[in-house]
Amino acid sequence: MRKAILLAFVFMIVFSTQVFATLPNTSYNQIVYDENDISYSSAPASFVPETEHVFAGINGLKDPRDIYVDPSGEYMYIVDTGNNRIVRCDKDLRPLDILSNFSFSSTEDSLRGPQGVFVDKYTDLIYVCDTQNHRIIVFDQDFNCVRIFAEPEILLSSDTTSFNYLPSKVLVNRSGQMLTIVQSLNKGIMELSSDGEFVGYIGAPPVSVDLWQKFLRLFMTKEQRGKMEKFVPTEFDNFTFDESEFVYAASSTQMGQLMSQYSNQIVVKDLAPVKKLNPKGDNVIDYDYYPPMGDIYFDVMTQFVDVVYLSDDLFCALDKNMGRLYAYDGDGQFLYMFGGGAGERLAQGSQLGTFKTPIAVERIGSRYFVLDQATRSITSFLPTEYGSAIEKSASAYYNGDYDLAYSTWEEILRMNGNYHQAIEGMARVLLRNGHYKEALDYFKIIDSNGKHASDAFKQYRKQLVSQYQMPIFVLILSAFAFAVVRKIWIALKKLKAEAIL
Amino acid sequence: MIEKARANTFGYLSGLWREIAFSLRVMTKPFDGYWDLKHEKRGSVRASVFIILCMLLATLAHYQFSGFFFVKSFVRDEVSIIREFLVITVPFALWVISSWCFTTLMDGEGSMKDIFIATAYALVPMIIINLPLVFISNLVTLEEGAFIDVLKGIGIVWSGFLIFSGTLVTHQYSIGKGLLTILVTLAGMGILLFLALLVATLLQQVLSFFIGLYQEIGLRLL
Repeated sequence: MRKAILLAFVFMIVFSTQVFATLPNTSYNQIVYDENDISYSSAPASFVPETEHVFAGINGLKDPRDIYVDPSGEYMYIVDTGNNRIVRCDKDLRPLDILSNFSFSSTEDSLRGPQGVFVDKYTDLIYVCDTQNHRIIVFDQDFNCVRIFAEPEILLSSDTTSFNYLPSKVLVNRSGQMLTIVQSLNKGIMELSSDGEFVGYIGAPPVSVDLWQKFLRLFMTKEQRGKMEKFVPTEFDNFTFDESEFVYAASSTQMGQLMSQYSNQIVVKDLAPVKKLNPKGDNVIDYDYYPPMGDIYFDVMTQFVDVVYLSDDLFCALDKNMGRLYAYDGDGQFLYMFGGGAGERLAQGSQLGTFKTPIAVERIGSRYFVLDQATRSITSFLPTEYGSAIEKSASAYYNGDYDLAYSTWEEILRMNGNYHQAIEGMARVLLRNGHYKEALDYFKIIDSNGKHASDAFKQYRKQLVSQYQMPIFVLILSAFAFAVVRKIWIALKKLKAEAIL
Repeated sequence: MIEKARANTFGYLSGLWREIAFSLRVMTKPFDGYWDLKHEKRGSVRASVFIILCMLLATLAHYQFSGFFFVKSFVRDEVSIIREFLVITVPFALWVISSWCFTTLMDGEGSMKDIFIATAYALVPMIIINLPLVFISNLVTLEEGAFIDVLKGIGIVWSGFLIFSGTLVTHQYSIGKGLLTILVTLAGMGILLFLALLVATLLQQVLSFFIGLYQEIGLRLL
């Protein structure tokens, strides 16, 4: 008897720990917003932390600023700014080789405070932003220096005197043109030709002066007016290409302005903290009401510092203030969120999967990698069943595989009944397949009364009208006939009365 | 006895009905209508109150029974009858008081009662247009909702014109003076609101002073 109790006790302990062990080590806030973005509820973990890489083998990182996965998905480049080097790792983050010193035209040279790296998928050349040396350097795959682009001569700007050229990120497109983010330059992304000559700026919204500002200008001194003219703060933090070389750019400076002007829909598109720029530099991001902007209701404002493009128009943006990652689909619809730590009282980045100062995010396969500048480490995240189902459904819907998307959404709803995106998606599939009444019912469940719901209603109304064509026709006809008969009746009565008189 | 009460009730109701029905004439022929309203006593305060209640009903019906595409469910869930009542009556009262203040100064011939009745009767087009729209909004899609907005706009403009013509007829004003009066009345509404807020704030201060005094005495002396 005693043995049995003991055994049961042991079993209890073993199984209880097992239960806890199988629970993913999640960070604290996993949330999903409802359709109207007015409330949120908790959600299952979409991604869970796997390991934290600290790179002890190469004496650790110092003030790292960026990570970059080359187009083949085989290598990751870590920009180890404080150590003046670039570290190349394999996709499991084992360091392979290090770039710090190099020789160019038989002179020894070295990097100083590099902040960005990019690998051109057409030429396999590595572009490094040697920020503190004011230049962009091109290396081949064996880290031999091929070319150095010094500071370009800026033709358009009138105030070059105080300008300090500090290129921090670079992208190179099909034709060899370089797009660079230059630190403390608030005119957008600088575009350089393949020879390193200045072409122009893209991505900065046009300066709009409203009537009130024009009125205020009447009373301003010249100095004040000059100050106002410089008010075009579009400073990007990081950017990335999608397959067709549209630029996804994150900007942490936009949120404050966005929050003060969110009722002005035109301005909001220009101030979106994550932009999708076409080659002309226009923001072409899609969204319903709010642009992708992280937390809509918050104590600490979301500020996106980096964005990673996944596939099928999905992208994920990193918020430095709360250490959270937010994924969106091509319609700007929020998909999932994970991470945490930075701004929260509880974690402060000490728990695995939370961050102190997250600064860059990359993705290899289904793994996310997040670089934390303060803890000098890279944390990898693996998807849960829930997280991968969300991505699967979004991709399936994007690729037109509606049946797969529908069944995946059903699966997601079993895991999270509050996931309104699934209901919305199912409603859209139903609408597409001609089940208008059901689609409308689904839209009504989540109170989604936008364009798609309206289309469903229109088709449903058409169905009803054609179904009850006969009765409606008879009703209208009889009403008309009744009116005519009544008119004649009255006229006859009148005639009769007159005849009698 | 019962017969008499029944006759009284019937008389009251039929009288009220005639007064309310007269609003249709005011609506279609504002200048004649307002003249009769004032000089032949075709309207009444009780009918005006009834019209204001109808306005409240129309607003509530809009929130409760409008189509899916025109009222978000979280708005519908948050509707408060008291708040909607205040949203209608407070601006109404401000308008009437402010209008009376200025027209009295500007040689207007209307009494406060006249202004109250004229303003209430001016609301009728909005009620008459909005109520059927609640039903129609259940049959139209989001894109067709533009028609509803247009019709609502017509209702507001119509009511605005009735208020204007009501002011002209009630006080025997010329057009220019009428426009001026309306502008001044609008400004007066702002001033009234400001004064009300000022009084409220001051009262609050005084009140908190006495509460503080009471607490101090209670804690220190007793």
